[in-house]
Formats: sequence, C-alpha cells, structure tokens
Amino acid sequence: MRNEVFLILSSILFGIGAAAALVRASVLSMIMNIVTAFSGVILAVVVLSANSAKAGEGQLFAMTLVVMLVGVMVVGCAVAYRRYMAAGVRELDEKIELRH
Amino acid sequence: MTAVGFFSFFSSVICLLCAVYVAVGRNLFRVAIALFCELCALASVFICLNAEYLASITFGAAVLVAVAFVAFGSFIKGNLHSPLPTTPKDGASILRSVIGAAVGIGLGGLIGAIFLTRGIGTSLDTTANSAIEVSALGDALFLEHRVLFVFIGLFALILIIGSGLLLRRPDDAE
Repeated sequence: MRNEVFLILSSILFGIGAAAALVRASVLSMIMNIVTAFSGVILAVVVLSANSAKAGEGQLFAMTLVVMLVGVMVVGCAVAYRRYMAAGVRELDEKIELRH
Repeated sequence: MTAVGFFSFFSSVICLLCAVYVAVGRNLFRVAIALFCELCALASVFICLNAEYLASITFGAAVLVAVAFVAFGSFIKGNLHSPLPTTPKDGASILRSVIGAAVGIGLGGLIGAIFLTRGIGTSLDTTANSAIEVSALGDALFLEHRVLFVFIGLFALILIIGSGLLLRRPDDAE
C-alpha cells in the first residue's frame, strides 16, 4: 500500500513539475520545476526497485539521475546568468541571441 | 498506522506542499527554500524505502540546489548584500516563521532519531526482502557497473567545463 502511495506521489510531482516548467516564463522558475519533475522520476525508480532483488542497482540508477539533475540545474543557471548578463533578460519569451 | 507509516505519510505531504509552492511561488528565495524542503522530504521518503545512502546524497543535492538558486538569484537581481526581501515584521509573518522553524526542526529531529535508533544501513521495515548495505552498493558500483561510474565522472567534468565556458565574459574569449 505504501509503495502505491509513493508511486502516486512521484506521478504528481512529475506532473506538477512538467506543467509548471511549461507555463512559467522565468528561466530560474523553469529550472526549479524541472528539478521537481526529476525528483518524481527518481522517486519512481527507487520505489519500483525497492522490493526487488536488484534494489542496489535501482539505487545506483537513481544516484545517476541525481547527478544528471544537478548537472541540468548547473547548466541551466549558467545559461540564465549568461542571458541576463548579455541583455538583462530574465524571461524566456524575449528573443535573444546567446552569442556575444 | 505504524511510526514508519506515519513518517512516510508526513514526508509525502510536506514534499507535495513544497512542490506546489515551487510551482506557484513568486518570491525566488522562498521558492528556493521550498525546493530545499521538498528535496529533504524526498530524502525522508528514501529512508522509508531502505535507501539511506541515496537519502544522504539527495540531502547533499538539496543543499547544493538551494545555495545555487539563492546565489544566482542574488546575482541576477544584482543585490548580493541583502538577498532576502526586507518586509516589516507583523504577527502573521512571525507566526509563519515559527511554524516553519518548528516543522523543519521536527523533521530534522525525526530523521536524526531514526538514524540514532536504527543506524545507517539497517532496514526500517522488517518485512522488506533485503536490507541494502553500503558495502553492497560499493561492490555493485565499482565491480559490476564500472562503466556507469566512469560515465558519471565524465559527465560531471563536461558540465563543469561547459558551465565555465558559458559564464565567461565576451572580452575573456579573445
């Protein structure tokens, strides 16, 4: 029963994160919501491998996803900072070239 | 409901509430704090799933994420000296601060109590099929999945180099 609750939680987290990432215009808000969606995926991986004989490998895969999550966040923050330093832009809707 | 069941339900509710605030919040710094709380609650859920090592990694990632967003938010706003917005203190804001601090301390105390009474690496749920030990994770990582470990390291290195290239100024490129 608890595993089903965790799977529902992971799907809700992914849905909230994905929907908010598509709706929000601010770059940093979009990155934060992508982190939320990623965390839902990581939780689903851990839950699905929790009671199997390969639980250790499921946790290793989840650790890989955590590293990728941090990487996506770092690159996204760098891109947001670059856009802001180029033309003071914080929103995704405004057209701007990354080249200087 | 057992203590572990209550703890897992409480952590799930906190995670969900913080995720909703991250999605709809307007203040960047409060949203960063909410994201930190969400990842800490997720780490608590991992403890309930006998993934204590992954929970510690998630907690470290939560600290990194919160610091990164607060720092970048300060850089973009151009106000490093006072990253938090200055608002007059009233009864409602003080009550919110007290409740937030109590929830945070309570959650941290619960996690600490579990680690102290159960120990890292032991199973919380006695009906679980197996208890994952750190040594078994180390064996799986370094003996069976060496390629994955090397790939993670290379991926992190490429991210660091790419972020440095993105952050350099135009006159530095010449």
